[in-house]
Amino acid sequence: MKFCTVKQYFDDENNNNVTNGIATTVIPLPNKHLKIKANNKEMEQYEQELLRNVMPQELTKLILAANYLNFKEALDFFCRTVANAIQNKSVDYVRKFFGLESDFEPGEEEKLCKEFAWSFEGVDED
Amino acid sequence: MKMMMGSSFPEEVLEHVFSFIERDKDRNAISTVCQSWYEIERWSRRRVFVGNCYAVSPAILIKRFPDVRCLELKGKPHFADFNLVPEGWGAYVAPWIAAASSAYPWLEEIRLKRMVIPDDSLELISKSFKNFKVLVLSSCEGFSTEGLAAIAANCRNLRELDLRESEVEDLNQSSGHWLSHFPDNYTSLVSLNIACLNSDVSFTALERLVGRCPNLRTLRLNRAVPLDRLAILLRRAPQLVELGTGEASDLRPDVLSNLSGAFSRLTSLNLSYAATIQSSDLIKLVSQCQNLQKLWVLDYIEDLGLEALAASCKDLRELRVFPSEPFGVEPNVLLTEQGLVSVSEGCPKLHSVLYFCRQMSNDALRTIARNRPNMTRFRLCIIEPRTPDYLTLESLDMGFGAIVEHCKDLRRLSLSGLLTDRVFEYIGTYGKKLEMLSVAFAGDSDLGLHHILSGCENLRKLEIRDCPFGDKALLANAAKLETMRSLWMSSCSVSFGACKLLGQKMPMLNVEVIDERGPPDSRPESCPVEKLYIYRTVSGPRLDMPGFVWTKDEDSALGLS
Repeated sequence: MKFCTVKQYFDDENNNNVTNGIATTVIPLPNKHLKIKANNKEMEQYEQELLRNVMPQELTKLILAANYLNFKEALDFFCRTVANAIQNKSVDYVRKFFGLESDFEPGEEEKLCKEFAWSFEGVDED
Repeated sequence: MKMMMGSSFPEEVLEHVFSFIERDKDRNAISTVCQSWYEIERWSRRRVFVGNCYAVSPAILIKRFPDVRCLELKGKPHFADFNLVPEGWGAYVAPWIAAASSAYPWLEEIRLKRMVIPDDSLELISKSFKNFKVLVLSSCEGFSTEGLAAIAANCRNLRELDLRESEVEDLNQSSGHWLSHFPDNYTSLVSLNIACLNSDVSFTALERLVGRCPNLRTLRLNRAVPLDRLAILLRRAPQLVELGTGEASDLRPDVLSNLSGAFSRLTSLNLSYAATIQSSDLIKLVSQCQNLQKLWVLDYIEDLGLEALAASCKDLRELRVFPSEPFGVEPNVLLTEQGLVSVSEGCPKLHSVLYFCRQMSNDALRTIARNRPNMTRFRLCIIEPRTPDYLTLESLDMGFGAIVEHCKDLRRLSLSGLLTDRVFEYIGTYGKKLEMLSVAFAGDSDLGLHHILSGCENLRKLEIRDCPFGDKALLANAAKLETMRSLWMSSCSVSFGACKLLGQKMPMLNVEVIDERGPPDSRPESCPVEKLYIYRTVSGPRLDMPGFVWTKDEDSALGLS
């Protein structure tokens, strides 16, 4: 199914979003992912490598390409990589990572923060 | 700092990223990134934990998160387990269930702790949520076997029914034992915990249920199921990995050998209800459980048994040793600090301990701390209050100081024994990751409380009884209370005047004075209150307070209601 989608994509001349370079990266990736699925440590290393070596804009394009191409394994892998990168980080870090700015009203963000901390906090044992 | 083109992500891609983010802390962070993320996150949050049911209301919850599948609520403060919270104080779950029944038709899991749940609510749960899978009632009350019958009869997809330490009223049902209400074509049970039930269990119904549920992994039974009958069940369900048993009145060698194969597969064993297994049998049993990760046991295991545990169970992560005779004056078993020291030496993964004993020394605590710097939960309960180090007769300040100093990831700590303000200085200095602290019969002055409140940056729950802590430290650290979930103080020296002041100063706190002696304003303001429960909330003062609870009321001239 994967190769059918890719072939269709390249046949579609109107679509300029995915260059040959990126499509080439996308296709082999899932295979590599599947090969090293067994070893979690290798996966982590690969994720780190990906984040270090692939420019953020490229990573964005990879994700969008995977989404367009309906590449479930690739999409899962990239989304999980991004999710792991923003776990346990501050809101500011996440904003910078995605190049986003807060568009909350002044005071609104603080109010939201307070509500979370007070009502919907993390699970504890006991 | 990397920069992705976040604004070019279509919503479904963001949702996909969010689906890998499960921790509440992280979800809370991503929801404050910007308004569109807030919206995407709140529509996709499936799991919500409300640590204090009075910190927020059902309406606020539903408005914010419209499609919740897993709801966890906690009600009464922890010291309710020691009967310090009077009957009728609150924690009623009925309003939550009623609201959820219309707002969350796809709700799958409900977990409650220390809440009051009537049979009506159980019936409503069984009829409102078609895909209901998990019901965990931990230390709950207010329901009977009739409510359980409704759950059994109607929840076709139920996977987990766990009654933990709940109080269940046994009603003789004309329609037969509640277990037999599971229909014949019901086969989805994965986990069943009915250890707390005082009533008889229909063994036939149980055996048939166990026999037709191929995915059953956890089974915790009550006193009514003797060990030899357990063998029958184990043969019907060889895939079990977690087992707990009630009365083991007849642990004969042949019964034990029948079960030995099953025991070696167990990862969790709860023998805290098994009042008649003696030390030598416990040793034999425990030595067969090489894969054990969690053991809850009575102090009949003694030091010798704990040595055997340390030798056999190298994967042990959690140990709880409960007292067989907590109110006895003299020790009835040979369990001392040595047992805990052995386990701390022999079990490298041990990180969670609850240990009841009658003697302790600073030396032992230091050894435990050095052996297990990976400790995250350490609850020591020396039965007699203010017991000193039995070797030196000094306080146990240094010993607990060593625990907080070496165990840098310690999140939960319960103190006991003879302790001065010094121990609180150590805790305030080193307990930077501490989230919950329990204190009883300790300290000399307000300085003790001040050390904790000013030093423990991550403190969320603090519970104190019978300590000489008063107004000064509390009022000086009022702002800290808004960063915590709750503070409980009973039989301390906090005056009614200070409570009123705190209530006025801190609008986001509910300051509850619990006093069964009558209205606090019938006594001088300087009079200490019996019990005090302070918690932060976004839903204001609660409307279901009983007569013996007072809190601020802006309308009243007296400042109380």
